[in-house]
Amino acid sequence: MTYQSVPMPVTRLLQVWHLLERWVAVIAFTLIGVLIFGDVAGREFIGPVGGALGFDMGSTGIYGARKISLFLLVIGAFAGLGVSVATGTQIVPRVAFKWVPTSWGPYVDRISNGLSAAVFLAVAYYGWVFVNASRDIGTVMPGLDVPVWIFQAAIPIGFVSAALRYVIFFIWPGSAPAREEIPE
Amino acid sequence: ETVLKLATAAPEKTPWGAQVNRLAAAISEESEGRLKVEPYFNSQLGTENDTLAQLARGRIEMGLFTVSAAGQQAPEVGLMQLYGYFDDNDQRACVQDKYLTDEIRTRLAPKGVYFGSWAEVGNGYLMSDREITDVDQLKGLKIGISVNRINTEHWKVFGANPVPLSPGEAASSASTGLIDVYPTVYTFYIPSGLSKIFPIVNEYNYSNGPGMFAVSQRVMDRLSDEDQAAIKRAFARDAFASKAIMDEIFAFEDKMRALHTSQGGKIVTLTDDQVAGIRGKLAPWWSAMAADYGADGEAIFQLMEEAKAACSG
Amino acid sequence: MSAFGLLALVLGLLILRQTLTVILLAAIAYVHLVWGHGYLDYIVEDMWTSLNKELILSVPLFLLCGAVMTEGTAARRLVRIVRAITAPTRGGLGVAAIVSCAVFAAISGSSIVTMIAVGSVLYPAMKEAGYTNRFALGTVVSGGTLGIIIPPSIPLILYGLVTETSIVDLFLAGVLPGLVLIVLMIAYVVWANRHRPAQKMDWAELWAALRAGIWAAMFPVILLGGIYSGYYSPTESAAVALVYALIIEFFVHKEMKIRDYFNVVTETAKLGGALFPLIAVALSLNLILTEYRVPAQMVEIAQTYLTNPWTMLLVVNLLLLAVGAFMTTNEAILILAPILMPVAQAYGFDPVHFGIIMIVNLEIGYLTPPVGMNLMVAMVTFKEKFSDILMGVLPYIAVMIVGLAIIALVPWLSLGLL
Ligand code: NA
Ligand code: NA
Repeated sequence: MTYQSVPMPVTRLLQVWHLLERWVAVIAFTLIGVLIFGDVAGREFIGPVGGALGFDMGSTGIYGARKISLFLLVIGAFAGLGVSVATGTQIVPRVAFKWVPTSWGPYVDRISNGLSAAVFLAVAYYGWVFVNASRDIGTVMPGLDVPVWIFQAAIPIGFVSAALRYVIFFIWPGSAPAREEIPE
Repeated sequence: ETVLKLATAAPEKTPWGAQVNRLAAAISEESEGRLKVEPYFNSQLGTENDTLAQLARGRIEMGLFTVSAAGQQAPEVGLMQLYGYFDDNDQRACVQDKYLTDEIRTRLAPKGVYFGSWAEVGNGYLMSDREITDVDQLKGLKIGISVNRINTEHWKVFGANPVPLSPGEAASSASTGLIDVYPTVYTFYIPSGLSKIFPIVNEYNYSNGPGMFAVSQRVMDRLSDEDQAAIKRAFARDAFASKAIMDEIFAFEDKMRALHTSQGGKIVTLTDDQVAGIRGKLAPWWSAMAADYGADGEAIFQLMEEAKAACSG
Repeated sequence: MSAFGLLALVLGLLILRQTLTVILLAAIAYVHLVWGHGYLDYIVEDMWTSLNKELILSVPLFLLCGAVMTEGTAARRLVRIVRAITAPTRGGLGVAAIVSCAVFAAISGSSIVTMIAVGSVLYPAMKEAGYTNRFALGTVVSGGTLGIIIPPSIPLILYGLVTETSIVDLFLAGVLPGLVLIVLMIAYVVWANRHRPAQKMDWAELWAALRAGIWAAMFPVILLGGIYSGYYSPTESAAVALVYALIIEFFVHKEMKIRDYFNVVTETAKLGGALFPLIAVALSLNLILTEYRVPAQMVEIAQTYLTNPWTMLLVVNLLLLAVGAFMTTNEAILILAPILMPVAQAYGFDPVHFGIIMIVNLEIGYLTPPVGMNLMVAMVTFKEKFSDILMGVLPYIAVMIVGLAIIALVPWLSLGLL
């Protein structure tokens, strides 16, 4: 295995995967805006206007808009985790970068990716333990009365996705992105 | 010595705080010091929804919750909270103690929650900047609620718009006009500063809210037989019967009521006819909600109907 | 001994170039294993609990809205209006930069977005007009920090989230302290340019700028007006802002395409992907600290050593300035606010006032090395040397410390409007 060469199928896989996560995030964040705005518009505009025109409007907000939005946020956030790992925009403290010789850099980066993969996989495992317990106990999302574990499952899935990407960076260091500073 | 963390939203210097401390003392006594209850007041361990889920999984050992929170573990149990359902609090105390305790305990156990005893949230009224004495005045008003199905559907019956809020946002939402009404209890109304913004209390008793003292079922199962029995004896003490718990909370409400008037607030008392005018809209909604929760909902509603009949007069 | 282990763990992870998320995760796991019961699934439970808060919904929406504004032309149009108005002052362009940042801050919830949006227009313009490079950089980079004190503000939302303080109150409380900082900054700009001649008012240009920018100029009015007249909550205002921004960029200014929107949301997803897991992990750290009653112990320790509220305030401010040098604002709030707020409250400070004090401290933190986000992003955005940017912001740091002292010592500035 040569150090830099990344097999073509792996490159393709990473591209498709990245595009998929981007779409998931775009859809999730857009829907949050639509739901919250729709709730406000229904309550503050459609309801009063309809009422003024003599229609019996009743309640005009979108029921559960925020709870559904929260679900979308968790999905968007953990799809975003993948996008962020793929583009090297996770926040990395740089205080200790100069503590190791510059020539070791590539090796440290490779170990770094392996370790991140291990930590994320561990989180995903414990996430799975937690989601399972939550399913056994039968907690539901207040207001939606949908089992809450379905929402919670987005967390371990997001971590698995990010972990697998680190695994690939570890095996083929050439596929890893350059680190970028992220604005907040 | 085994430490049992107890989570509650209540501050220590309230009747709920007193009840929690009394329970802690009772459990310590009954277990001859083997069990030590360590209360975390003021939602230190998180909101009641969060802490109840943690209790169900065994991370927190005990807690004081509203019945509406119990609805996230077993939705049909939330039916106990059906607004306007009971004729008065004495009837409710009778139904709770004589007919519902075992039923609710049975339903919550497989969901990780051991139902210890009833607790009391208090009487909820309509706090607003205006007088509200009949149904038509509620139409189109924006009502601040904490989100759950029963809360939302209840206000829709009157053609009002429920606006989901966290309690921390109630006072500021009232001051901007995001809400017109915040239905709540005196014990939240005055300390939160809401009474300064919405000075009028319309004493339509929309909610008389049961609560519960609960123990994590997993924790309970891990305890020795003697310790389990000690906890049960503590809960069975007369001081934790519904009526006794309620009276203590209601006495505190009376003090708050007097305080509100002395601070220049206004209390609007509704006539029996006015109350009946509002409550009269609710009967079809009770059955609709029960049906919404399927067979479990129907079963518990049936039981409540029978108990209510048995406890009348 | 076990505290030593935690330190070693964190240092090891720093050397191995781990992300902040991984470092926090490992530290929390260590706490659970060494001091807790060793159930690591509690970490994920706490992450869920942390994200399951409706207030947090406004954060991605404000991020998205900021990204749309940066991509679109609203910022350029706002700046044009402000330039026309401020032309007759000495150092008119510098004043325009501060005022533009202030106006833009009333739309944007973040310091970086404010700096980029205003700076990308005014920094080149200032250099062209003969201002020194350092002054021009210092002005836009420092002005950008107004983004988080003038409402809306993501850091204020996070503070409200972790300390359960009303966001409506916090937003309102930021207004006067924001004005104090604006006035001080403008005073500095005018003083620094006292020898530069003022320009004449160009009424035709002002009229033209207003016509081109009226929709953008209405933005702050709609956003804040809607919150304070009860049409929507701060959380909901983020959605209204986003929809308004999209409508003006797509249909009024017509300079944005669907393709651009996809890219803008992807950028937001990147930010969100870096920020939300971190928020969740940081908040889960707060939850275990509470479980072990750390904030209560901090109050006790503080009260043993600091008998006077003013010494407490001084110590906390110095601590926050130091923290601001090394940590970014959001993380500092998530980790420290739940510990420090109870301390401040025990000394009689209002949680809202203390929130504003914290935000102003961390606003300065955007400008202080080694970790100053505005400095770093400015380096990339304006392609300038770190040392030049740093020299440019130094006078503003001094100005802002004066502002911080005023805001800390006069609680009325934060609480008067409530
Ligand atoms: Na702002
Ligand atoms: Na800094």
